[in-house]
Amino acid sequence: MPSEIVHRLSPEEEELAAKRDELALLEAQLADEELALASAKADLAAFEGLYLRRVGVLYAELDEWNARLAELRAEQVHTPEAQTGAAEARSQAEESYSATHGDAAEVEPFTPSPELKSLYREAAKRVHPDTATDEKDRAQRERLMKEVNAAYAAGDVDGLRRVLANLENSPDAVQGAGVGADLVRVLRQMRQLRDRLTEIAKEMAGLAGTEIANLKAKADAAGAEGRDLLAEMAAIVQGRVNVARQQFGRESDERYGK
Amino acid sequence: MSKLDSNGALVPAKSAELARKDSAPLARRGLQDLQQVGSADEWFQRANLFYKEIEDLSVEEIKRWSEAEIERREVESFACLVRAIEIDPNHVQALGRIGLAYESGLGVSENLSQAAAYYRRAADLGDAQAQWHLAQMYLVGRGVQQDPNEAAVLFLKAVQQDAFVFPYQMMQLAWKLYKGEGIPQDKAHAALWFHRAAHYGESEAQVQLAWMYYRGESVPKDMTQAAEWFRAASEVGDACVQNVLSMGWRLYRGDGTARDLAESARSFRGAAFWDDTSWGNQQEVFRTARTALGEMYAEGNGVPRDQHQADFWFSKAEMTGDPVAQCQLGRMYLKGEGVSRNPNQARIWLQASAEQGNAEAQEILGQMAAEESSAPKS
Repeated sequence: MPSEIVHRLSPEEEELAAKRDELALLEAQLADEELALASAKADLAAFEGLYLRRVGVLYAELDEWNARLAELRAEQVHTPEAQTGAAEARSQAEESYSATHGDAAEVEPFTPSPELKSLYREAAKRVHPDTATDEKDRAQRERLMKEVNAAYAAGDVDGLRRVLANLENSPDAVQGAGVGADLVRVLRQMRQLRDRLTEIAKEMAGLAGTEIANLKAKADAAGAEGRDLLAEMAAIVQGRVNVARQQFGRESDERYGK
Repeated sequence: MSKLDSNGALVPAKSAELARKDSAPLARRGLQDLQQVGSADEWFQRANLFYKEIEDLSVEEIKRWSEAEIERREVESFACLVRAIEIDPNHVQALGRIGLAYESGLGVSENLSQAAAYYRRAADLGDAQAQWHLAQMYLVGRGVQQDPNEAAVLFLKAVQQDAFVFPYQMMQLAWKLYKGEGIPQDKAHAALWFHRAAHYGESEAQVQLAWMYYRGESVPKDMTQAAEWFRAASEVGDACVQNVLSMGWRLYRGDGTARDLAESARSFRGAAFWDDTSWGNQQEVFRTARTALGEMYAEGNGVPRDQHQADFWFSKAEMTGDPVAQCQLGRMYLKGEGVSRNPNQARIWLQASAEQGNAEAQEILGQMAAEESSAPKS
């Protein structure tokens, strides 16, 4: 009866196995965090679109009336202040118009399916640039990660599947020679992953600090009380639009007659 | 970031701050406006506190306030209103309230042109109350150049709002349009507003609308509609009397309010005696409606001919007051409750009630007669 060949792990090999387990955990954690970040960004973009469509357009309209009023007044009083005022009001109106009619205003509500989320998590784990072992690998992974993020934001399940399928076909990077070299590489990967986790935390904090996120938080809180904050805001701005429009009407009647 | 000019609504922001083409400036603007509106509202509520306090006080407590105290509070309240519109120049309620303060000299010296200016701002923001007040000013030229057309425009704007449920004011507008009083005459339009006021239970409008249907004046002649509106007005009359009557009972028993016999006697008197000044021309309106409805039943005009119904409405029209109220008032005179004891007055009221068939009044009169005959003759 042949005796079993028991491969006894050297201490270095044991250490490597332990670090590999740790790396796998970190990879999973990072994938979750990337998912959370991508979701937060997409949520925010969707809210931004909603805000621009429901409230932003009213600000743009308000600015338009104000610009017309300022121009009307500048025609009557030819002071430099009036001219500057009119020019400023006009450029303000243009800013607001372009902000409310750009791509940001087109973004639709974002509701990722569980499938989309799990595909994203899987893809993020597999292609994450910070698991790269060399520069060439990293460049390729960064490109892939961009694709993955874009597919997620667009809710493109097939896109994510395609990325994953292509990965299956590509041979894994050849592992380095020797346990020592492997251990060094794993440790380096772990540091890269931890750095990225810190970065994600910073990015999340940065997102939460933006005005639009602040507004979204208020709108969510109001929504929990059964209120529609965007509708309330729209009503406020609409009131101003009405006033500005009527003021313009009166002043232009005065100038040009009814 | 916004600099508010004298027109309030115009909020030209500095363009440098909005140089970037992303949505952040618009989001920031939204946040600032939310905050402004919120804190302006707090000031408005503070201004309101004074008036809320008054609502909760009893007449006695208000009487205890000195003139100086009231004026101090009015001034304070006005200052809060001003603060509210400094923060948010488009705070509709505060603007309207300031207009009212200038118009009536509450907490600030009366100034009609200022009143008109503030009403105008609130009116432009769509405030129905302010539109109504301003329309009144344009109608007679108070604080503004008299302008009946502008008044008509504002009147219509005000009453067209769903939130504006002041049937009496709708009716006032309807009369103005009907008679061409101050504003261009337009009877078809008037019918529309009589209709709306009538729907809200304004009995005078109901009777007028009924007549318009009856005569086919600016509306298609429609006897069924006429009868319906006459009936509605008659029922409003009953409801009014019932309200006054139940108020009388509550005050008499101290039911949900302080017991007040004098006030109770006044309520009973209002219901017992329709010609009381407190009813204005209301009882005339009800009487007209009832007589007209009786006639329509007698003639089978718009309703099936029904002499029984006709007699019922005629007798209601002739009714000179509520028999229950008359009986109760008689009893109070008899006992000297809330009024000074006066057997002669008691007899008058009890007789009026008994004539309308009130059994209790008849019984009391019987007792009085028995007591008198048994009493030793002096």
